[in-house]
Amino acid sequence: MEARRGKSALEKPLDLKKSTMEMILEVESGDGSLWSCVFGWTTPMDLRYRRCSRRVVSNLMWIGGGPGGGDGSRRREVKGLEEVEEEGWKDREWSILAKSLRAPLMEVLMTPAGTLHQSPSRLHFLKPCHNFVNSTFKFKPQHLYTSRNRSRTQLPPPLTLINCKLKSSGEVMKQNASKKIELWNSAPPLSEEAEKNGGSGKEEDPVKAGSGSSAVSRSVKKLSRKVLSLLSNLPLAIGEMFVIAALMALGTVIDQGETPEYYFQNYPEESPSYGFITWRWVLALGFDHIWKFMDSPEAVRKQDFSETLPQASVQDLGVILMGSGYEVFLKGPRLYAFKGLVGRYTPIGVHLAMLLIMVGATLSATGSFRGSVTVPQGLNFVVGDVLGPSGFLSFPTEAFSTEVHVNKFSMDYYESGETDWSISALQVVKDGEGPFNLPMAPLKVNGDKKLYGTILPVGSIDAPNVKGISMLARDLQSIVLYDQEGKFVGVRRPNSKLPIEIDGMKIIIEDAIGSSGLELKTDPGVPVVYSGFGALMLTTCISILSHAQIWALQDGTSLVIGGKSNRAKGEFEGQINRMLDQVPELVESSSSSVTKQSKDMVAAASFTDPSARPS
Amino acid sequence: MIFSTLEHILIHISFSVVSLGITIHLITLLVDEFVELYDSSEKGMITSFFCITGLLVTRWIYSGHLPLSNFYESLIFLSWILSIIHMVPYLKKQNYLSPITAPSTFFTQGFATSGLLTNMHQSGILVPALQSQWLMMHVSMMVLGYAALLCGSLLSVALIVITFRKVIRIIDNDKRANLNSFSIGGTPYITKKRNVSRNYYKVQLIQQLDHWGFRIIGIGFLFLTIGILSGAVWANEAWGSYWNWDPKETWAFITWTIFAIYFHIRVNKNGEGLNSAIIASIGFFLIWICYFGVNLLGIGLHSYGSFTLTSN
Repeated sequence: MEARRGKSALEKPLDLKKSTMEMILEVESGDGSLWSCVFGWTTPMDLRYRRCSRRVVSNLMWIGGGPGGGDGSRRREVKGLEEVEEEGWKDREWSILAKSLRAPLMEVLMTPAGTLHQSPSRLHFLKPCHNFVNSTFKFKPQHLYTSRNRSRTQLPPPLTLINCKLKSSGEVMKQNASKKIELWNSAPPLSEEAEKNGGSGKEEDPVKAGSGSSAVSRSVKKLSRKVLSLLSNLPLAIGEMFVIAALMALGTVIDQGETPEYYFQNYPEESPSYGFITWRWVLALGFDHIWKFMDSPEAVRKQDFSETLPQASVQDLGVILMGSGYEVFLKGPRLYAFKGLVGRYTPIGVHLAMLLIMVGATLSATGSFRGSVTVPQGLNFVVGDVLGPSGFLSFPTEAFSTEVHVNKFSMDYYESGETDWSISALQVVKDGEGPFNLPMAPLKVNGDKKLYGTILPVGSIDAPNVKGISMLARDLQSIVLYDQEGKFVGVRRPNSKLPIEIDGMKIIIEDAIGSSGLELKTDPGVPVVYSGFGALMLTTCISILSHAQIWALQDGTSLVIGGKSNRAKGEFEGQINRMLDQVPELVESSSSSVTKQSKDMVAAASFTDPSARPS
Repeated sequence: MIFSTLEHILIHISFSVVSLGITIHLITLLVDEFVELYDSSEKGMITSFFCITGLLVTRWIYSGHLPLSNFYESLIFLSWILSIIHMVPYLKKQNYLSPITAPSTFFTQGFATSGLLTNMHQSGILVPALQSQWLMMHVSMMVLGYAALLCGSLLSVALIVITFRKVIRIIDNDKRANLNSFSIGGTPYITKKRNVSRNYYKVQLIQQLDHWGFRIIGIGFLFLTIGILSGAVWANEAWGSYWNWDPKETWAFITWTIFAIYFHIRVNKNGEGLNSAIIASIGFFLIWICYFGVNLLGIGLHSYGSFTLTSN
């Protein structure tokens, strides 16, 4: 039977580190009411459980009494634990609880239903409880303590309680569940689906493969879900971002002392391509959060912020929310409202913009042309000759056949500023012949300054030791001349046209011709990258806006409300509290049959009632 | 000449006022409270704000360009932004940021006016590469981003310190054991084991610090993004391509990445609080490396911001 199956599963040692185990214990107590409690424990990385356990701990009812049966007269309510620091449970605490639960649970399973309350084994049944406790539920206390005798004022060892579903006796008839243990070996799906599954009381046991053809489809679905959950792993994305940052830091430390051309030629192709995968995965995460109506009170109560209003109607809440600027969707007893939809989808826009930037960068890296050329004043060059392709996508365009003519090269000087330049030639007139253009070459000097030199050879060029007149120039203003032996002769300014006598020759320096160095580049990826930049700036701006969601469920005559906000969490609670203060309390129990006018009257009457909502 | 004297006067007034305000705060904290001076820090920061505004306007008029061309001027701008950040929350009557912005302003101004940077005090001519309209947008956005991120990361450091303060006080735990269970309305409230905090106000404070840190780092991240991207567009115009792996650019990108990690850690509820605070405190050091450390290296395309620390 199922009890036996559950028992054998329990007998194995509970291995916490490897699996996520959750156990739902449904026990029938003496008066026929069915208790089902979920115990679970996880590894520290399973965040959902941790969150759930905090919510339960925050509204906690501890049922206590003497051993051997009681009548539920002594009941302690422990509230206010939500103020306690919200740290996660440590491994040790989980294992302590697991050990302490194992023995009693086994006992519970083995005893027949009727004698539960007499069992000497110790357990704590804990259930989340708001003021929501209606008279339809009766519970018989299962006051059982742990084996360690603790005083009443101390909390029992840390809890692994996830949720405890309390089913009334009416519901019991629908589901013939007397005593069953459900063991799940994997983390449950998103909270809404988990609640739906649990609420309908489905009996799934994926550990032992179920019967029939549904097993195959189930395993396929499990596999794809596992793959997706592996890919959309946030810590992995964060780890990758760290790797990117570390690599970049390394890059600055290592690449030092290189020439400036090294910087011009490096494109950001290597590092962002790791980023490709990362952003895709984060995108995949983002698409998981599609809203839907929440069907059960537990799901609604699991939100970051939740409240229960007794004697309220969901329509009133909807009206008030609409007045505050929310978009409200009402379907039967269920309500969903959101505000600031743009704040929800802009993170997706941010990542899309980054993808766009990377596409543009790739296009730049593969499809651009670069080149540099030094053109003396007065000469031309053809654009296409100078540029070289840099990738396989580089296609020359029409503009490549244009010819550029350098008209004039001049430098504007501040008192101290300089720009980059070079001297291309020295125009000299020798003995009335000429002018000759003597090309100048840069000379290596230590330091920042530049030095250009040229030589006017004297005598035959083919002789082994060619001697000549050397001319050196630091800038375009003055030329220093040396004779054949290397002795300094004189300085001339190019515009003065004064002759100088060296070794019997009359030299007139006509002009020092500057040449301008140009860097040319064509880059097809630039428009794409710029549009990516613009999109990134815009979406980052917008994503600061906050987005709030509210779910509400009409449960009998009371209203369960849950909500969450992704940015302004502190102010969100205050806002919601103020709005909830305005929800009128209905005096009559049949809220749906009240007509609109009388509803408004009731609303007006109780609007100013400060005690309309118990806090 | 008159402008430089005016600058001198203004910066010295502002610095002395801020240091007075901080001294009064420290005395209030440690020794005793002067009731008449309860809002001295607020008034002091307003005075400092006006002084720095005057200083910046003076430099602008005198040199013809926005005063953001070298490290000294950007430090002054940074302290100006910090004083603005200090004053803004007073509109909402919440002063979580004031213990952080006031000392930050103090230290920034102190460093700027110290003897280490006197060779930059003169306002000079801009190098040709900086003569562009982009200067105003790019540098001001970057400094705005740095200021806000500095505040946010210091808030996170404060969060870490407060969270771990119980470790320092572990000796006092026995004395406080009686306060563990407090009761409201007759029902005893059960508290947890020793090694978790029990103080309601402390938890509230941590939550508020976390929340404020999140908001201000969000704003800072936005400005940093805009600054980096406008810098890239300017670089494309001035240096030929929008991303050369220049040290300053690279470190700005690293800072950006670290704060992006901060946001992604906060996606899960588990990441809020301590984990994200640790990341943001790493960001504090990165910002200083990016802003200050890279300039010391003196290489790369941003090298006209470089300097050597000389003592005068």
